Amino acid sequence: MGSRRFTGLLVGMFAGLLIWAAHFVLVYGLTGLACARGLGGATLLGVALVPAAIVAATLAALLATGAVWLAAWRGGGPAGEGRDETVRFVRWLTAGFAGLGLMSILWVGLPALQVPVCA
Amino acid sequence: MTERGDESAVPLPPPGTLANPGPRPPEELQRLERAWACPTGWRFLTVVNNSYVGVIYIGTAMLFFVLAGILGLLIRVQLAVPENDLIGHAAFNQYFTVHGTAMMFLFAVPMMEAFGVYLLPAILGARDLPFPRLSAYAYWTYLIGGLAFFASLLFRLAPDGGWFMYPPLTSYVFSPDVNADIWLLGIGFIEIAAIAGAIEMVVGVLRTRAPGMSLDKMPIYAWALLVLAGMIIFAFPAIIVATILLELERAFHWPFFMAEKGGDPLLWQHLFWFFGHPEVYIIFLPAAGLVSLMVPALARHPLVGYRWIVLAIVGTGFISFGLWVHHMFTTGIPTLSLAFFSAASMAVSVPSGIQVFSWIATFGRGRITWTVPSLFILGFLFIFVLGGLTGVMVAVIPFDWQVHDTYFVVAHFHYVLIGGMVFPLFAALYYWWPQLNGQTLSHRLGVWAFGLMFAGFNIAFFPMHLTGLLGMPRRVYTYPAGLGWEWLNMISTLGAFILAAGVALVLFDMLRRFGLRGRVDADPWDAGTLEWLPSDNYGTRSIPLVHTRDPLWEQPDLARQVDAGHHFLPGPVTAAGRETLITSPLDARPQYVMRLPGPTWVPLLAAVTTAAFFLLLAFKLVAIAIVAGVLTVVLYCVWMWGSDQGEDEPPVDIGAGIRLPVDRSGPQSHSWWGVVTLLLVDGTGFAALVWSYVFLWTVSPEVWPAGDARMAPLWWLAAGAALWVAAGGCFAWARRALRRNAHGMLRLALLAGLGVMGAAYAATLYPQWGVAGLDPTEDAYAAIVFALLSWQGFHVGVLTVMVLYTLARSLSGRLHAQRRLTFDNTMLMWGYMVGQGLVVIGLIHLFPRAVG
Ligand code: HEM
Ligand SMILES: [Cu+2]
Repeated sequence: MGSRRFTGLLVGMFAGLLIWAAHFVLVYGLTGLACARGLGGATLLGVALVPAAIVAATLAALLATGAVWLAAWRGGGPAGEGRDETVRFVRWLTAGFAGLGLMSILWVGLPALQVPVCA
Repeated sequence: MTERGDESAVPLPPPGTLANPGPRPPEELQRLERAWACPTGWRFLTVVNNSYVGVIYIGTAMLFFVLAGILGLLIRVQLAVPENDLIGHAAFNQYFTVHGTAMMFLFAVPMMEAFGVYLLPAILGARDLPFPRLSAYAYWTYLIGGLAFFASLLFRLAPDGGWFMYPPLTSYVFSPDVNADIWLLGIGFIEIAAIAGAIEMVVGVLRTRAPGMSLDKMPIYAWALLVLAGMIIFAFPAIIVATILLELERAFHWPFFMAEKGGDPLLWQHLFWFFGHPEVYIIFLPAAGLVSLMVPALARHPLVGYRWIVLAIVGTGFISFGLWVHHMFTTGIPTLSLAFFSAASMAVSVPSGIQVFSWIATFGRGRITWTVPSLFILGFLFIFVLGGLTGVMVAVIPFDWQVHDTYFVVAHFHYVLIGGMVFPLFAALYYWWPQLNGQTLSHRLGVWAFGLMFAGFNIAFFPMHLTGLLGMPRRVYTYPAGLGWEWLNMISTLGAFILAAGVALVLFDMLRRFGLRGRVDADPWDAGTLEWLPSDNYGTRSIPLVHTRDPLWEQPDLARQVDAGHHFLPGPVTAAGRETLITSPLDARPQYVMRLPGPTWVPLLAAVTTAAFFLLLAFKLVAIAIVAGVLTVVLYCVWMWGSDQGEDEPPVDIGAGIRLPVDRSGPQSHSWWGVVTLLLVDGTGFAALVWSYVFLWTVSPEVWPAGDARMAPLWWLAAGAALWVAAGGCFAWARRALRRNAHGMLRLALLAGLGVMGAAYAATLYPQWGVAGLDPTEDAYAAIVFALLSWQGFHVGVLTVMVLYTLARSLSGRLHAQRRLTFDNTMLMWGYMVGQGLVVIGLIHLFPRAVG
């Protein structure tokens, strides 16, 4: 297997954690930028924008990670070309990383509901 | 051969197969021994074999541990009583900075890499690492750089800005002398060693495993090294970029970190801790990997929860990148951002917890043997868990505000570092010592040493929690009496000496029993992993077929079979003599035989010139530094010249009826994988630079151009981008020519590529000063634009050398369709450089327009 196929496999296997990382960068960047520009308290129709965006991003990330988990659990996920045992192992890890990602995304997203944005 | 079928191209023989069942010809072993003979006398310095490089690497890391430890003791002596004037404040600042820096950069990380260099091939069943000369080079740069770093103390020139070197304190205004440059350039270039290590680990773990050792059967330690490498790839570039920026600010006054010119000192903190936090896990995870290798043998029970540990290690590696801001809780960052990091900091303790439970369960199911390594592992568990608890405490933001920069933090991180890394290390030293010469270290002295170290450590560092809570700041060279800190400090100092006595006892025993013998035939712990197979300079006599996680336990008679040459590749099959097997990344199916280089002076010489280059720069001796730099490049070329011999040998028989090609080119080759890994490092560094650009814009939009002022017209973007694309086209052209062995065309294409690349770079660089009139000393915007341009310029320079080198190979007849590693490597770098050029020029022209 060449390096490119292997990279593809790694990305599939780590999908849950990569989504966590993307979510993390997004919510952190958004908050930082909003506060730097004095927009931390911005509202639209009475809804606080920053927390709302974070909640939305969190839900989207949770859905995506959930899908990865489900697919891996059902025996899909990154296609393996190895022996059955190896493929099963890779699937188990894919599901495991998705589970860990799910937990961490939730955990990181929750403060948006409780903590003032800039202060 | 198509890529698709590679994982199943070579069928793996069924478990229990003997690849070479018959008796071996008697002269075969001699040929193997001759090929792998260790150079003697002065020529020992040319050694590249990982078993030797690994041992001196570990020894050197130990030396720096002792030196930095002595500084720790001096610090404790100074702080033992109030109003002490034994060490002045200036020297004190140097001592704690060098202590912290050396412990992290010269001891902890290199020690973990050194263990990797030593152990990795052995646990995988490989004869050596994939790039032996690279490891030797890494080692020598590290040794020279480390010695120079400590030597700076003697001249009072050592850095004194703390191990994390925060500007503005460390910039040219407040630290005009060379002290800070020694940190930036001296430590900066030692990162070469870390990155070299990462490349070895990635390619080593993924491509040199014994046949049959599929991903789910490799020892946890191999997983740990893989994650270690991954973390180095994504963490170290941030510190390298930070170092470059600060050095540029110091040397040329480009104001990245100066608030009055639109810079921001927090940029340094972000970059530093984006590296600095993962660093903690870069240290801890491989140490934990060593523990996972030892615990089953010591408990006589297979590791409980293998998959869960893999999950935990990889998970920790990832999540540790989301923690860096917890070092910056007191810098006025938005509360919600802090909350993200606080949450992630707590989340990361979950996977660490999984590992701890799994070790305890393994000990519980097996029966613990009361050996010295077991003691150190139990000590590790106790201390590390305590450090983890205080870690969760400081992850709570208000608590951190209270104890930030006090001795509570000093206590916390010594619990984590000494608990999480030093205790496992000592367990490991006791555990693997018999590999050196068959002798075991003294049990009686070991028990004493453990007792002293464990008691001394807690006596020294537990009271620091209290001194911290009582308000004693860290990094103060003395304190007044009457604040209630006297007794606690005195106790800490006593404890530190007890700890040191324990370490001294171990060192004494080691010096007494030191001896290096190629042959390893001891297996004192009845362990299950491959490094306890009988082996010699060449590794194991034959490369085993593996089908279980603990082969020595579950595959009876394996040791004898391997040593009698009944498994794969029992002797040299090419003229080179040094070879190992390259296997597929998932199932570890044999793919080709790789020829390995033997002893050479080049790594040492190149390390000397590299070190000279950076150290001379630190002292502003630019002209001689450039000479050293040029010499380094020449040596690199000499180094590479003998490689890439092409696919010139016929396929060889490795046993079990498997015939394999000798060396390969293309995406399957180890060289390709190495370059891709290097490009990942490169790309991460570039991402850090782009991130810095956006960050500076976030904090100082007022220095960004508004409207057309200070902007070059857009047609420069069109011209530049077209030229970069054309440069890419030249390489596509060269590639086609090479495939058809059209050598004249190939050379023409390469030369055209060089010219177009130069033009592309000129069209990117010139408009910024010639048209837009930017001056990098003016403000942070101009500075970061020029940093991006310089970064690209550096790549253009590297590619120029590589293309010239490729041309030289072609002209000397060493480049054709079947001998093309050199070309492929240059091509990969070239493609990357073109892409990066497009991003640079796009960012510079479009970003200000988009936001302005
Ligand atoms: C011999 C055992 C050791 C002793 C007695 C010791 C003592 C100390 C003390 C007292 C400080 C605080 C200095 C101050 O704030 O003024 C300190 C700082 C530090 N120590 Fe240690 N230490 C030891 C081992 C280690 C080890 C094994 C590591 C890492 C692997 C380490 C890493 C550090 C770091 C990173 C700092 C922070 C330096 C700074 O503030 O810039 N130490 N050490
Ligand atoms: Cu941290």
